This record gives sequence, C-alpha cells and structure tokens, in this order.
Amino acid sequence: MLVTQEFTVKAEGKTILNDLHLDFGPGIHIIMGPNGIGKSTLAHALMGNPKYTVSGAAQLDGKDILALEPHERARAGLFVSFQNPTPIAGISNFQFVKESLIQQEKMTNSMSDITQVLNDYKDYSDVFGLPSDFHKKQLNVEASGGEKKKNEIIQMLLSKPKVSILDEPDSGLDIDSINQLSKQLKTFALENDNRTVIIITHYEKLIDSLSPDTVTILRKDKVEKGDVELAYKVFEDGFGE
Amino acid sequence: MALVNSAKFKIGDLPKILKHGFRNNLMTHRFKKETMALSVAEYLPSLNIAFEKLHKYKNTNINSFLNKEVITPNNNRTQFHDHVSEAQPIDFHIRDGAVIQGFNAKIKHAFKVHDLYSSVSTMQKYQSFFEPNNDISDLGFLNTIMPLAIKMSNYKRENLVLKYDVEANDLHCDTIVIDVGKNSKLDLTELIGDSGSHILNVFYILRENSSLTLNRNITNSNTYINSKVIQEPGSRFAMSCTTGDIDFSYQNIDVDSYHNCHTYIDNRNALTGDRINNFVVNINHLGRESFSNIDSKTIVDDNSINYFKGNIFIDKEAENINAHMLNKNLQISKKAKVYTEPTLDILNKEVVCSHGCTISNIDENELYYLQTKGLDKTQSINILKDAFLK
Repeated sequence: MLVTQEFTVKAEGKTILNDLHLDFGPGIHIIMGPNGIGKSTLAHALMGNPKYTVSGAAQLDGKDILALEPHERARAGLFVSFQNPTPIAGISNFQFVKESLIQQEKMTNSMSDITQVLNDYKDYSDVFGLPSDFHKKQLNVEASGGEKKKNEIIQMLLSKPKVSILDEPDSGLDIDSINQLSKQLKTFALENDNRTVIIITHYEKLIDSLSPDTVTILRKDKVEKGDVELAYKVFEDGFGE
Repeated sequence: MALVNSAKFKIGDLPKILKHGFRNNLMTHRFKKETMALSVAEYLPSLNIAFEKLHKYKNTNINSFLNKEVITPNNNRTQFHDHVSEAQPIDFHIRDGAVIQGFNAKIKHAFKVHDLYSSVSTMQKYQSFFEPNNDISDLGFLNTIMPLAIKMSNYKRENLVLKYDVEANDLHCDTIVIDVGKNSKLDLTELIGDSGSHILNVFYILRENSSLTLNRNITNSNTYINSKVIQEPGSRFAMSCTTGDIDFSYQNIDVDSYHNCHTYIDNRNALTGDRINNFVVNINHLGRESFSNIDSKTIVDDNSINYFKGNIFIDKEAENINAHMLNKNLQISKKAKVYTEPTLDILNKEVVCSHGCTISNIDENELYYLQTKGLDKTQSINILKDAFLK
C-alpha cells in the first residue's frame, strides 16, 4: 500500500533521511528508532510538508504521491497524526472534522450526514473518555496532550484512510486510554483488508497488544525490518548506537 | 443631503461652500426655526480647519474621505416609504434630521421620536449635544438644526433596527441621540450603507442600570461616524461592529463610563481591495468598580489599510477598574498596511489593566495542519481567516 524507493529527505540543506526503501502492506506496522533519527520527518515528508526537500519515489496504492500537494495526498488516502497537533482557535473540533470529510468527499453537507458524523464523533469521544462537549471545543486549544492525541485518532477513525501514519499516538495517554487506543486501532485495521496502519512508537505495552505484522527500525545508515521479535530485541538490547 | 438642487462637490470642500451661505436657506426659511438654528448657522460657516492636517487624522488616510466627490440629487429623491421590500424589517429610517417608520416595522410604543418635525420645545431637550468637536464630525450638524432623538422609556425591553438612508453618491449628515431609559434594555441594530457617504454624530445615553447592545453593520459606503457613549452608573454597553465592502470608514467611539458600568467593544473587519478602515476607541473610566474590554480584529488583504487607535483612561478617583484592550491584525498581502496604537492612561494604582496588539501572517504550521486533513490551500486560508475573526 505504501512504498518508498531511494527516498531521501533534506531540510535546510541537511540530509535527514537517505535512500530509504520501505514497503508497508495492509495490516499494522511499527516504526522504531533512536531519537532524532527522522521518524517524524518520514511521516511529514510523505505527507508533503513544504519544509522538506524530497527525492526518490513514494507510492500510495501504486500511485506516485510526491508531486501531490498535502491535501491531494490526504484525499488520495494518506493520513498522518501529529505528535504535537497544531492548535487553531476559532474552529471547533467537529466543524473541522466536518469540513475535512466533506472535502475528502467522505460525507455531504446534508443534515442527515452531519447528524450521523456528529453522533459518530460523540460515540468515539465517549469511548476515549473525552468530555461530552469535546466536539464543541476549539481545535487542539485548551486540550491536554492526551486529548489532542485522541482527537487525532478520532479524525482517522472517521475519515477511514487507506494508509495511516500515527506519530507516537500513545504519548500523553494514560493506561486505560492506551488499552482503548490499541483496541480501536486493531479493529480499524482488521475490519478492512486494505488498510495500512503505521505506528511510530517505543511503548512496549502498545506494541505487545497490537501484535503488529512488521517492525521497522530506522538506524543511522540502515533500515532493519522484522516481526515483533525485533521490537522485543530492541527493548532488551537498545538500539545499539 | 438637500442643500441645493443637483450639486456636485468634494466632501472636503464643504466648509468653504458653507462660508458662502450655502446652508442658510434651509435652516431659516424652510423650517422657520431661526432661533434654534442660529448657533449652528453661526458656527458651521466659521469652520476653517484644514482637516487633513489635524494630528488625530495622522495615518488615517482621511484625504480619501475628504476627496470623495458627492452628488446631491434634485428634489425628486427616493422617499422613505419607497423602501417597501426590506429583507430585514427596519423600524426607523433616518435621513437629514427626520425619522420615518419602516414599511414592515411594528409599532414601538416604548419610543418617542424627536425630529425636525417635532415642536421646538421638544427638540430643545437635546440641543446641548450640538457642541462642536472642531473636526470632521462637525459636518454631521449640517443637515438639521438640532439633533434628532429616539428616547426609550424607563423599565422597557425592546429591539430596534435603524437604517441611515442616503441616495447613491449622495452625502448624509446627521446628529442623532439614542436615549435608553433607566432600567431598560435595548438591542439596537444600525445599518449603514447604500453606496453613499455619511457623516454622523451619534450619542448614546445609557441611563442608570440600563443596557444597550449595539450591532453596527457598515457596508458599501464612505463613512465617518463619531459615537459618544455616556454610561450612567450600573449600565451595560456592548457594541459589535463589522464592516464589509466599504470604500472608507472612520469610526471614533468615545465612552464615558461612570460607577459600576460594563463596557464591551468588539470590532471585526475583513478588508480587501483598496478599502480603508479606521477604528478609534477611547474608554474613559470616570467612576469606580467598572469593567471594560476592547477586542478589535482585522484581516487586511490586497492593498487595504487598517488603522486602530485605542486608549483606556482611568481617572484618579476611578478605583477597582478592570480594563482590557486587544488589537489583532492578520496581514494576508504584503501590500496591505496596518497601523496600531494602543495606549493606557492610568491615574491610580487600584486597577487591573492590560493591552496588546499583534500583526501576523497566516501561520504556516496551521496551514499545513489543515492541508494534511484534505483541505486545499484556499479552503485552509479561508478557514484560518474565519477562525481569526471569531
């Protein structure tokens, strides 16, 4: 579903990622790596953040996405959850989700669609233990780190992207919320055979509970790929750098 | 403005025209109120002020207003009652010293109207408001011999929609008093537009424990408005002002707040093209235990210009005041200009006071965040602009 070849990312003239060959099929995948190795950079370079200069190739469902604007990549089915979601005052969480889904042609502006999506949003808010009026709150404003992360996951669950890259979705979440996150991610990935969920995390309990299909370790000069045992090896031995 | 039949002149030339007695005919013969008209008749032609050189108009681009050419039509002007298809029911139309009830208006028993058709003794009650300011607002006294007044009774709750009428390209000058009775509550909407020019002096008197919520909507016009608000003890004044598609707008809002008053002034503008907007607000805390908040936000795009000047004055005796002022500007185009001058003038120590101003561009991180969720650049910018004005 998501493939990169000779994928190289630079920012301000400095190479951050070099010649990456990655291949993520349907299922759940984990990306790990030492601090500063470029895990978040990988997510946002794939999403089209203009601050990065990218070369090589990246394909989503066989379609080259590097020439696309970020919104076109989103509409093609790519979703990135932010490690620090950007606060925007003046627009509510639900207003934003509604606009996002309408532009991705995943809902219409009809009252029935709006009501349905609002109910779904409230249901997910409830599942994640968010306040009952969370949909009315301003987007990522006056919310805790954990609440912002949950909001990102709700956006993903409602937009049902083909490929999701979640950047440390567990940080800021309490134990119960991580259990719920794991449950929702597994359900989301398994309910459709064509969904790819890539999670950047180092949290052992989450990795354990997700039973990922693959684990990818980004290192300074190489990429190591394996199954969940690779993650356990890292937990035991560290990254060794 | 029915000064003469079909005249064409620049607004800035009005004082010179007045020197030649341009105005006397209307004031003395038509209405036969020579005594009352005398002070105005004497004063206005003596105006000999180079408005554009006044310090208060620095950075306001006032010449854009003064150079505006207006055309007073002949006497076959549209009559008030011709406005029969009003999308928003208008209670009162105001033009040239007269107040006419709107076509769809409901009878408002809570109000007494004093206009140029009222008796001299009735109108004299508000004659003291014809005090010159020695600035452009004095031209607002032109078209009548005394202020028109809308007086609301005590202990009433009402809403009112006023429209300041003008012919396209004409100039409307008026001085208006809105007098809200004790313990009354008034929701007032003011509509200003009609593709013409306006010079208005509007006085709002809030009697003890009264409340005035004022929504002022300025569109499609060339407008100069001087607003004086007098808040008696215990009163609440909340003003919400928006402009759209204006050529030029200058608003001066001067509030005298006495004991235990609440004052809220919100101003929202989205300027495009060559539009010029000026918003000057002064809150004078003259009594104790009061609260005020000024919140002015403007988006400037293309070649538009926004000027904000705000001052909070807190008198020596006005203790326990809580006063705040914020001016935020979102600059979309590099060619657009923003001037902002927030000041505080505090004469005692028992106050909580804050002020701030910002001029920012579209935040690249916010833009990227929205784009990652499927909104294109234009949609994202529009969302950020809407969000900014909230």
